[in-house]
Amino acid sequence: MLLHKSSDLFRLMKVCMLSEEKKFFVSYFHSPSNMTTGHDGEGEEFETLDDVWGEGGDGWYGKAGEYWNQQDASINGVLGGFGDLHPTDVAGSETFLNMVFSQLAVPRDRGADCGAGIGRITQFLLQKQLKQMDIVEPCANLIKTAQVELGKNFQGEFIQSPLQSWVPKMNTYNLLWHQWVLLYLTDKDCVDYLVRCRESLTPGGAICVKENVSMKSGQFLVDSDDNSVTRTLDQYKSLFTRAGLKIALQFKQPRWPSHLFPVLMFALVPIV
Amino acid sequence: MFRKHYDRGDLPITIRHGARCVLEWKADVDTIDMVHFLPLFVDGIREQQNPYRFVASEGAFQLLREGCPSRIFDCVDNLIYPLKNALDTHHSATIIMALRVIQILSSRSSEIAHKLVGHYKQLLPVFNIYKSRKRNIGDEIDFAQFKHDGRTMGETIEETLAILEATGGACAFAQIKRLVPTYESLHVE
Repeated sequence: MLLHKSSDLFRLMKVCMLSEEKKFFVSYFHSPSNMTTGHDGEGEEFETLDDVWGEGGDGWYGKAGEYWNQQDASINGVLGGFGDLHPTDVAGSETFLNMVFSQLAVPRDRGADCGAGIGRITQFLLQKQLKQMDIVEPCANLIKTAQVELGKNFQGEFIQSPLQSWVPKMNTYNLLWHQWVLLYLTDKDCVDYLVRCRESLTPGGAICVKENVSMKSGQFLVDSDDNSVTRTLDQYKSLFTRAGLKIALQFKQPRWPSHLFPVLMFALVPIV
Repeated sequence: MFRKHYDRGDLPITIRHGARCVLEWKADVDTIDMVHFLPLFVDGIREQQNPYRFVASEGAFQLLREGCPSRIFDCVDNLIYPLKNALDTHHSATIIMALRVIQILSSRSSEIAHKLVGHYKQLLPVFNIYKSRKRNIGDEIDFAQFKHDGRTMGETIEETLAILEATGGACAFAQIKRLVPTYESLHVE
């Protein structure tokens, strides 16, 4: 009798585990971005990201622009006061880039640093790895600093444009680097933008994305200071899929302080 | 082994002394017999004394960084034994060095990374002992974080595992999790 019961229990456990597993796979592969809920840290809850952005996205971008105009045009400023993390960040990106170049065989001719700020990543990492780098940045103040920081020998264009309206030239770039910038775009703009990026890639090219990702309890987070959204991993995956891109490499920023959001790096290639 | 070869003058290198010593190759790195020399240099990272230690580590890193991936691929099997010996020394600086070798090795090409998956059983168990060894400095600034030195062994191990997982293909994660059960990845939240 006892044995019978325990085997029942075992079967029940197995069923539970199986259904858990199934759930995991379902959310892993087909999670629509509006499955998750989020909050802004000040008590306001949102059902979906569309609630956050409201009807039109135009008002949404104004605040981010304002925020960056007020920030200091320095390494400490662009890292939001976490200037000490600059070496850790660059070292992590370098490890990841080495993987991208060796595993995916991305050519090293031309790249763009999208949402570059003061060109920090280009200056310390990307211009050593690629022959030509373009800087794309909407904020006049920051792009002026980038021109000074990168110096006269810098080969590459400075493009002053927000990403939601920037149209990269077709079949031009081997590598497009996005770091802490997709968090400002709304889902729709982000997908449209990634599609344009995909079309601007040369054969063998890749799009790199380095973003904060909310891992705890699967909830996205809205920052009302600069109007940015920390998306969940599933939300990012769904964005990439909708833009016709797949994740070729995925790497977590090592040595990152545990009290900050985990930072994930993705290398995206077009789905063939 | 490495010491004997160095003393006998079998290695195609010279040291240019100065404020910072530089290792110079007597032959072009592309023409060096990788299968013979790379395991030898990796074997030497266990050495505690200079010049052996400097020559071995510099030589190993230069060959790994500059050598052609397909030629490095040929000697992966021969690197496992020296790497395991280095990890078994339980000497923090030596272990960090071995971890750096593993990191560079697996990020050179996907063929090498995939081949390494089969050798996890030899390399990863030692990670369990040191994985939790992290420094807690409260809210102070860590000025040495860009140096990959012995004070951050736990972080270096996590970094190594993350690189192995990212490069090793589909079954890498399952293998890592089997050997280092406390490893947390992106796949399991």
